[in-house]
Amino acid sequence: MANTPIEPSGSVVANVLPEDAELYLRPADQTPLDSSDLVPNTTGDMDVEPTRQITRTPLHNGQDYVSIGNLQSQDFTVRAFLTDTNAKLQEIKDAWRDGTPMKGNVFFRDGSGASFFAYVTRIKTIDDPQANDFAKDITLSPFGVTLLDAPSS
Amino acid sequence: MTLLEWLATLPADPTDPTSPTLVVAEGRLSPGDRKRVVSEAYARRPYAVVVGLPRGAPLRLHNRRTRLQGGIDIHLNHPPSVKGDLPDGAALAELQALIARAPDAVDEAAVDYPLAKPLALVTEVDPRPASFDSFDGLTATTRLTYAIWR
Repeated sequence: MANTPIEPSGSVVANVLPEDAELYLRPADQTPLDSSDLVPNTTGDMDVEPTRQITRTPLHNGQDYVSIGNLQSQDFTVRAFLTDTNAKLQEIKDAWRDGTPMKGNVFFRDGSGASFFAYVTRIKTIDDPQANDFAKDITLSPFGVTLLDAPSS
Repeated sequence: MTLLEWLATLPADPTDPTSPTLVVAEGRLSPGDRKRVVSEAYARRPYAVVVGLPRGAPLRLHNRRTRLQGGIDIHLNHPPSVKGDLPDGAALAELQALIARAPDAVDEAAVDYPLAKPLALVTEVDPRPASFDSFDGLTATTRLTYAIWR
């Protein structure tokens, strides 16, 4: 005898990703960030989101003493398919060379993101003919990260 | 310049200074190309057939562009003489050496569609007896890779 169909419980959760992931950078002492600050042709995981630092100290009575720290970011690397003639890459290179801070935004594909200040710690050129690629790995060391929510509408 | 355009500028037989330029086809020889190869002027000199290979896994960017890498096989075939004698392979070997220089000249996947990187030589198969387009001649193969942005 045939089985009896049963409706699933719950509902389908929409997971629409309407945006492009984007990285914007500009020297920290310049005018506000705008759409011209987009770093084009990037790929890789933009690991900008900060971590809450928790310190645990075991006590003699068997309990833990827990202190809660600030949100703290970590270095992250983005690969950009750009050559040295690109003006935005030159701006990032100047900040790297001079050790000056930049400010930036990261937006993920769901519209959420982060704004931050960052030092450029390294720009590594990927030019191994074996790998058959030409790209620049830009490593940023962010600080003062503020989380941005996706627009509600 | 595209690969097909560049191949068409090569001599069909680099060992012969009076050689006409190479007959080049995509996929297989058309009946017209075949007539040209066996014509008196071309005299069954080598010809080239370009065959595209499947593209590999894409590299995706944050702006949704995609970089694809694929391969191209260039088969050089030297038909036998009218009597059925096999050529000695010298013309094919020289032609294959010229084709290894394709990355210096080819910069477009199609007209006005630039390559994302120069062509790269992957492998060469030396001239060997093989049937190709119904010619029981010698065939040499050169495989190149290319990359394009989509």
